[in-house]
Formats: sequence, structure tokens, C-alpha cells
Amino acid sequence: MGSAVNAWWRRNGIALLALAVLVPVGGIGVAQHERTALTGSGKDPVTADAAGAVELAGITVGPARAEFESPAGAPDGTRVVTVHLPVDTHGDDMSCLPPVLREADGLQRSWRESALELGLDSFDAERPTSCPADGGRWFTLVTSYLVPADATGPFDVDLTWADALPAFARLRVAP
Amino acid sequence: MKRWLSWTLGVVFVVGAWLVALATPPEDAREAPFTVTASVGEEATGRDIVATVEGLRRADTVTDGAWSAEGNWLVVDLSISSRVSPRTLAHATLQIGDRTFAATERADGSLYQQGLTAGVPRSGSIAFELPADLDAETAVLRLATLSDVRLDSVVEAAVPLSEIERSGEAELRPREWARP
Repeated sequence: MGSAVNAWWRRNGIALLALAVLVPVGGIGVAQHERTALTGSGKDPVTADAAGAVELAGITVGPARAEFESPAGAPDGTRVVTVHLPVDTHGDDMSCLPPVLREADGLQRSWRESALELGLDSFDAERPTSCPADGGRWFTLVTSYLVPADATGPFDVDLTWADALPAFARLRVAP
Repeated sequence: MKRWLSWTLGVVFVVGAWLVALATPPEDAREAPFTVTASVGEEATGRDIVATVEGLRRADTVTDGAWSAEGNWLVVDLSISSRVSPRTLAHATLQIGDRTFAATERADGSLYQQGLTAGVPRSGSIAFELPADLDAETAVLRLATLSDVRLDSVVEAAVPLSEIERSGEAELRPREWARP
């Protein structure tokens, strides 16, 4: 009996050891792949500190502020949320898309910046909607979002940039 | 075992297997879209789509501003928005029998492939160019906000092709906010 068990272990020991190593490694690999595939636009929010700013990947974002506006181009039953988001790059290069506005509660609906739909100039150097190529160390993103009238806030403003992924900056605003 | 019992059990097993085969969903069922069926004028709400088919028109020529094209056209007037997140009307098809037609991309003013805003509906039209010799009586319109509709909501509406009067010309509705 004992010699039979020993023979079995001699035949299958290496295979079992390989399984014991490869199964967890494979699991970790699949999990990492899913994480990357699902989170191309950021997965881990980094929320603001007590001063209302986010320090992430060498960049300081915030504090953010927002107000409701009623521009002429907005249709009935809607309102416009305009967000001001200061950015300090500390001299680093930074490339980002316009931040996304998300309801903090309820359905957590989200909206893209709506300059085009509202007839605003999205290339206005005084009101950049995305990180300007020659913006210097400090700039303030100014983005307007067309939302339904029942979106009353508070909102989260999510700013994503490549060097910070999969993390991104999330700042709370209550217009 | 008695002979009659063997035969009875055999028949029961065969019938049981047939019932199981009958009740087994098709292979692609686990990835099938979630269909929300609506009639013309009725609002349909899916996971991230809210759509109302407001009208159906057929014409020999469709126009969109200065652009026009002759053919066998079906124009679908729509009001549509996303429900939760920024989306695109990425899937607009018309199924006639076993053939599926995508909405035309030739008309710039169409709602097809346009962005949708959560809770803020847009109105406009999409158009389908159909075979000249088409004699089908019905079709199924499908709308979704992802081009790959597996496991996503799809708004579905029956299109009574033979009941829609065919006119000489139909203009696409201007693409605008549904509540200007």
C-alpha cells in the first residue's frame, strides 16, 4: 500500500505542483486582464482630501465648483451644470479628455461635456474643456453639461488621464 | 423485470428526453438580448435606452436638406435618449424575413450613430434603403445603444410594411432636442 502511494506521488507529484502554481497564476492573470479590459476609462476613484483637492500621479486637481445655468440653447425640461476644475500639473505633461459628470445618488446617471450641443466654443483658450497642450502648470477646465431638470445634484466630477490609470480623480460638487 | 414494465419505462424515458430537448433553449440563448417590445407611439424603456417610434413613412425618394436619393425607402421618425450614461444609437436594423438591413449612413441628418444623452431625448429620423422588389408585409425594427446587442436591451417594434402608404418623397425630420 505504502509503496503504491509513493509510486503514485512520484508519477503525479510534478504535475500536481505545476497545477498548484499555474491555477492561481492563471486566475490572477485573468482577473488582471478583466480589470484592464473593463477599466480603460479608469476604475479606482480617488476622492478629494479635506481641502477639496485630489493628489494623483503627481497632479493636483481641485477644488472643484459648479453652478446651474440656463443658456439660450438648452431645451425645455433641462438645465446646464457648469463645472470649474483647477488643475496644477506641477510642470508635468498631462493629457486628458473632458471630465465626466455623474450623479452622486440615485441612478448615478452620467453625462459628457455638452459644449457642441449647447453651441459653446469648446476651443476657447480661456475655458478649456480638456487638458490644453500648452496650458502651462496651472489651468482651469470649464465644462458644461446638459442634464434633465430632475438631476439636482450633488454630482461627482470624474477626471481621467493616462498616467493615473486605473485610478482617476473624483471631486464632489453641489451646484 | 417484467416485460411490460421495461417497455413502459423505455417509452417514458424516450418521451422525457424529447420533452427536455423541446424545453432546452437554443445555444445562443444565454447571450440573447433583452427585448423590449413597443408599438408605434409607445415609449419603450430598456437598460440604457428610452425610445419612441413616432411615425413610419415609405417613399420613392428620401431627402435630407440638400441631399436626396431615390429608392425604396422606409423612414422611421423617433424620439430617443439614453437612460443612465452617454450612449450612441449604434444599432438600428430592420429585419425582413431572414434578411437584416442596417439604417442608412448616407444621410448626415439621420439619428443613426448619433450621441444620446441620459434623460434628454432627441428627435429625428433614421432611414432604411430596401430592395426595389421587396414585397414583404411586415418587418421588425430593432434599436440599441451598442452595436453588439448580446445581453443588452433592444427596443423592438413591428413595422406593417404593406400598410404604410408609399409617397413620392419623404424628408428626414430635423435632428433636434425632443423638447426644444
